Amino acid sequence: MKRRFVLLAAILMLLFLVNSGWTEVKFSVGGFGGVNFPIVQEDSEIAGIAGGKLRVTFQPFLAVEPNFTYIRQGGLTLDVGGVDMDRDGGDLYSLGADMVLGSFDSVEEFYWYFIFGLYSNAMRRDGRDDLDKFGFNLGFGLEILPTDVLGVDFRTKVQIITIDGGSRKNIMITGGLNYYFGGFGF
Amino acid sequence: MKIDKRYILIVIPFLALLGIWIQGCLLSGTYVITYEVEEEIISTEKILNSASVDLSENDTWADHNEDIKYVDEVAFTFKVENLISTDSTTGQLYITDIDTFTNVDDIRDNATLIVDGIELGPGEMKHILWNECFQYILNLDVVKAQVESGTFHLYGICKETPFHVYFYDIVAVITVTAGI
Repeated sequence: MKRRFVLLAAILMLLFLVNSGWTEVKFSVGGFGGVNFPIVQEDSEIAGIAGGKLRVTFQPFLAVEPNFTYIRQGGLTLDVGGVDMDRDGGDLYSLGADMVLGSFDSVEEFYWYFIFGLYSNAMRRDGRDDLDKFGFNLGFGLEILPTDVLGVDFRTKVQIITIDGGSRKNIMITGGLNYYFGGFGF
Repeated sequence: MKIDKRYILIVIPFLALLGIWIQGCLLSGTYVITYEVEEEIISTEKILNSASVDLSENDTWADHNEDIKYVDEVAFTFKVENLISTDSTTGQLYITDIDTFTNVDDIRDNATLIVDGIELGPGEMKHILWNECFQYILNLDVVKAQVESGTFHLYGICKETPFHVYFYDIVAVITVTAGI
């Protein structure tokens, strides 16, 4: 069932791109950093995020951002039998792509956008089995364009990684810089 | 904020996909359960006892055990003391669902070794902490299966004989993902 929906979504996307008649493609690269907030995860604390991305803008309202994100799962201290004990956190490596939806053709100094992404996530933590799971992100962002080639980007994404009928969820708040080859240009 | 109507052509199929995908997954959380084991273990190769764990006595476990998706992690913190003042030894913990073993050979043959390698000098005591315990834990799949059953028993012995060892202040620290 899931595969059918993935296939259907991919076909619809392809048909839309092919029939759009808008042929200009723009590229940009960027880096970002920020803070990760675990949601309903008593075994992790707030910690940092860093990553890099490439943006390919296919349409005046659609871009795709392949990206890599390193997410630190913060360690914690807990009262165990009357003694405060530490537990090291873990590392989460996410490789995937975000679909970015925004009105790129009517931008003046800034614009808002929506994000939907699919990811492969590798979770590593001492004392646990290594987990490699798919997940998705959903969020929104604001990009300010002080010059035609440089963007300052702020975004919030909810990350959901599905694991054996359960999930791990994070809210990621990041800021970043993007460089647009040939200028933002819309 | 200007919303472009063209978004809808892309958003609808992905939202449908999203709905299917997250069904049953979204309403879950990860919880850390600490269970303080009341019993202490004092063992020699001839006389020994077990420490029993019944997770139904723990409020967090009782709240979520009907909808546990999976066990993320199991750890044991404890103090272990070599009661022989002349020889070094190596502390071990075994897990089983049987609490009627009366000798060391039965434990070694029928229970599962889950903690090994705690080296103790003559008369030495060590406190194994949460982070530290992972370097000693073995057979994690068996440990998780026993935890999922809700009840199990721990035996503490030593690798070398003769031995006289004391395990106390045992705490099971269990991380589970369960429905909210």
